[in-house]
Amino acid sequence: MIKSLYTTATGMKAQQTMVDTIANNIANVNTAGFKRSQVSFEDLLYVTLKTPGLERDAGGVASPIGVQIGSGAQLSGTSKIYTTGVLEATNRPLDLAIEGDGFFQVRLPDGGNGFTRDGHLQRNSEGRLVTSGGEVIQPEINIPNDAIEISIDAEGRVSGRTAGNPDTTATFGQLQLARFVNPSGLLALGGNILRQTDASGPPTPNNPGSNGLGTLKQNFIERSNVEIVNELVNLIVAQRAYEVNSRAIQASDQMLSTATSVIR
Amino acid sequence: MTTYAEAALVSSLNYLSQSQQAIAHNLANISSTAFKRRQPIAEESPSRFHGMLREQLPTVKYREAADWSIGNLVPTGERNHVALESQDFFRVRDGEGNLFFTRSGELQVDAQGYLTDESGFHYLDNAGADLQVRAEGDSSTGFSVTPGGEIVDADTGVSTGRTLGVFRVGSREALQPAGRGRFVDTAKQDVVVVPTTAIRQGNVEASNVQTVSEMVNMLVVQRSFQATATILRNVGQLQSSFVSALAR
Repeated sequence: MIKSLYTTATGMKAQQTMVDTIANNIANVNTAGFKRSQVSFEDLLYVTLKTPGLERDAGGVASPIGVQIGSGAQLSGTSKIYTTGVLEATNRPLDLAIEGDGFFQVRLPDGGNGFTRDGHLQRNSEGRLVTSGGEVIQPEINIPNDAIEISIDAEGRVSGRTAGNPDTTATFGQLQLARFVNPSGLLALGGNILRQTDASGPPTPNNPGSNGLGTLKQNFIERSNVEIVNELVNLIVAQRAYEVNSRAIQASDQMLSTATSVIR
Repeated sequence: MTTYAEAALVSSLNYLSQSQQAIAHNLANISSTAFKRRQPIAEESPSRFHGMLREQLPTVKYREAADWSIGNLVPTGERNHVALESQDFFRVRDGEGNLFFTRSGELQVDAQGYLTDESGFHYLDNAGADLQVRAEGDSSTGFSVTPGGEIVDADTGVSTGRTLGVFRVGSREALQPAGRGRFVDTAKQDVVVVPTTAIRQGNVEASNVQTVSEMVNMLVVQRSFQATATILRNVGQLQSSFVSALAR
């Protein structure tokens, strides 16, 4: 019973993690480009007291089942669910939503590459396209200071007119998207930025719309893919499971006290 | 001196506390993917108590078996989730070549394009080889799994010619849980590949633990434990009054 106390504690801890993850999802219901996380659990190692088929009874018949005491549950992983969120019209020319697969590639302050689906872009003081966190979009795109109209098409061509030469359209650059073999293996750094790992594989950058990459939609922003109703239902499930586990602790505790009361 | 009554009651208390452990384990795994609940079984064990007359008297022994009923299939809409609607298994292989059975279908594709579980163990195809769903470096969006296990490129709808293997063993009772939703076959039985139409993509098999029945089981165990402990105490009192009556 001492063991069952610890076993149920692992169950409560697992449910606690589930509530934590749901809380993070709900907190990010309005974060642009946020992908919800999902936790999954698995059973912990078993202690084999008797291996099935080894012990024989008086007649020499092998017992078909053994005794294996399980020791609870543990977190097996949190995975990001990469379904596309709702696209919302913002009428801001530098808001870009990715319709389909792919990430914007940005240069991180430490020199590495980061990846994001948050397309709420800005121009920095040098006229470069940056994310709202200030990371420069790769490949770099410079927009002249006197640009009066910026248009970004579905394939990522950035063009527009400048005040100096209003009669002709100039091309400012070409946006690229990157995709991964296993996007679930990306490491979330916070600030909507993800980083590649050995599990995700290397990025394969290409123009939007090619090679299975999604296309860009100007004047739109991708909302979070968290669905509040689902999260609340999961919250109720987790809470009930937590309660049930705490009842099991009470029961084990009571059995222990019964055992102690055998000796008076 | 241990009397038979005491030996039998103590074996019963042991059985009950181990049952409580199994129930605790089940409740802890309410949310574990494709978890199969552990079922305590009481068994009469004939040869545990030798009294003065060398008689063999029964005591209770604890045994445990898996309840193989299928958990609810929960739709997640996620491409990487598959669930089995039949009573069979997927197989996974670890880095050292050890084989495991599993019903959990939370698939990942590693950087080399192999289909793996969350610990990086490779799923097997219907020929028993590691299942590679795409070549290394190829980064097509994803794959679809047909009910028969065929892996289809989600972009083009063209079959990759590879099939997720579904396996069956003769006696599931010999499967021993290895944790993380996996089972090992201790009896080394022959494994057959079964043609199937029971694979459901976009679903996850939930744990088959029923909260209500576990709570009821727990109540039964708790009350039985109290009753047994009370009788054990009374037996002790009976003996001590015997001794004091004789000593007078």
